[in-house]
Amino acid sequence: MGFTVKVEPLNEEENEILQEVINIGMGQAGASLAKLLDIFVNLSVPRVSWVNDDDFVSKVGELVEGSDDSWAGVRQAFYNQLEGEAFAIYGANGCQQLSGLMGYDESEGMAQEELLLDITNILIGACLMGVAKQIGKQLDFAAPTLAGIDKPIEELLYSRDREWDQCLLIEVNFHLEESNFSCHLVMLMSEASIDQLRSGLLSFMESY
Amino acid sequence: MTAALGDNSLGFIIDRVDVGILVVTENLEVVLWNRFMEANSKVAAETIVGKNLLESFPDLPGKWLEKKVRSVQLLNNFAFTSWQQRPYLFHFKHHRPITGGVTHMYQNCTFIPFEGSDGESLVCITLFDVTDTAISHREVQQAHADLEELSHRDPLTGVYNRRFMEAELNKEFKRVARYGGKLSVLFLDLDFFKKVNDTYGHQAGDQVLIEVTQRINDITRTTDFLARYGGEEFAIILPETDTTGGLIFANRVREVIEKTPVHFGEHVIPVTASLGLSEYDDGIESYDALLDQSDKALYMAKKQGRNCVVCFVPDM
Amino acid sequence: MSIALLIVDDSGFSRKAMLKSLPEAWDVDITQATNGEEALEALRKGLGEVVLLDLTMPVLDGFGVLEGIRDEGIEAKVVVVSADIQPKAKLRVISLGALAFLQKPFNKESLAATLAECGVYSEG
Repeated sequence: MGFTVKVEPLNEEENEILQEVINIGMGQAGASLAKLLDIFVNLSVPRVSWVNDDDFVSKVGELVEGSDDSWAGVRQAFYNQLEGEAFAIYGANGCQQLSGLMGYDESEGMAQEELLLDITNILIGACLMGVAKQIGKQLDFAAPTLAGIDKPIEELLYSRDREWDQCLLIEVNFHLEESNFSCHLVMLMSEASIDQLRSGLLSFMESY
Repeated sequence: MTAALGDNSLGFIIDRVDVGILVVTENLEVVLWNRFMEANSKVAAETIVGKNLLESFPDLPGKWLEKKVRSVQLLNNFAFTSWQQRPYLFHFKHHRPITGGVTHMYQNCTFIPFEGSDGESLVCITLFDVTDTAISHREVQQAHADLEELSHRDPLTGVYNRRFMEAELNKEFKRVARYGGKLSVLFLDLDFFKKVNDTYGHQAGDQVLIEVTQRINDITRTTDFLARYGGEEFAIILPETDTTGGLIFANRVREVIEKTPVHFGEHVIPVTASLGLSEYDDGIESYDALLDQSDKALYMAKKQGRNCVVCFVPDM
Repeated sequence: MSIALLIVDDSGFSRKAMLKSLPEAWDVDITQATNGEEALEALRKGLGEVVLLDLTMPVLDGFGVLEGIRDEGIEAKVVVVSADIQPKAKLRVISLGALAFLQKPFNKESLAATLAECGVYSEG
């Protein structure tokens, strides 16, 4: 492995600004979901941390809580001025209610997997686009892919090699009222984007 | 996007790029239909532009497509479909007629909402031919499954191997410990097997193992689990079986082995087996302990003269 | 007489932004709270004639504060300032007694306009 410049994690002030920016992005994702499902969405307070490749799986486990081994996960990569991967993690119970919530019936041939991918695309898209817009950066998305259904967290987040040492981990969660459906969005931003993120946060702060 | 090219060039690229590109209004009226779409659908652009997409392609999943288009416009974001969940949007022929082994083109699609020059809401749908990816993926899955099966099996007899058997027994044990039910384990050891090898040779010994397992397989139920535990030792996991049922089964096995000698070349090799049976009860702490009991019962069967079935009792 | 203004938001950055964006000529006595519990405590002490209230906060959220104000019969003019822009959220806060909903991110102008609409501030 070549020489890599170590990226400084965000300082306290930058973290605060980031939290607020995510809050805004999350609000947009919640509104998109609410528009689609016509149901009230409970938004969480965003949690931001800086993790090593060694402990990121356990950190996600902590954030997602629950002693179950049964989660569904969808992965979606994003790139351009900010790059990284986002995971949407769903509890087993909530998934079953999904097609009812989305207003699909059996005959329309919308399998649970496809629904999970669609909802994930909507949430991640709205949340991260919201963030990118606030900080004035360009963002593009790859298609979402299924990480697994009915699996423990470690399996959903599994990767053969990790090319990175540290990354920024952002977690938000959505909970639908009167439903078991809940979703944790975990966004991992690579070291390579941190400088772009910084400059974006700065310009956001100045314009606020 | 910086465009140093004029509209004509851009139009050419959109038409000829090897990706399906179509644009529809919110009512699914076709506004653009590129060459890829023409070539694969055999429907010319002149025919379809201005018409409703579903009328020209009644086999499309109409309701789903309408919802999809409406949703991307409402939320103003891109949407995707993947061949893995939805093998295709348009039922096109694929381009591997000789080597493909598949019946149609596999597609990934993207839905892109945008505003037309008159401010109308449009959606661009792009269609990628991913048939090659789908085929390789299927081949890898198959190879993976084959490999996994291989790692679970005993190469000589084809029955499950010891490691896999222990994993299965562990699962079954946990299940019964948690939810209740019956479970028995039968150990089987061929009598005087060393003598068979010494007298008739190792190839004969192998043949005996192969045939004996076939005989056992013929009388096991689909839920029973036969595995090779050691050189001439086998284990059979019997779910939903108590001692009574286990003994009946064990005796059938013992009998069929005794009554059908193995033919090898011009030899007729008589075979018998000793069997030890043990049933799960909630005093047993682990699957190991259960195996241990069956083993003790097997030992007693050998001591009692072989070619018999012994059931475990606590004082062994 | 200065008005008791209570600013409630868990984000330090957000509170600073609100302070920066307040109309200059407004005569206010400012108290800050970082969550709903602190907000209710301050309100009970009479520190919030006018309240700028965030919704997503730990311990007790903005909805909880509005319910608290209603249940305890506290008099307060509440403007919700939030990123939670789903239509049902806006309806909910209004039905819980908030006077207005200001979407984040906001600026000086939109803040001043909202405050004027609620009658808690007028220019000149």
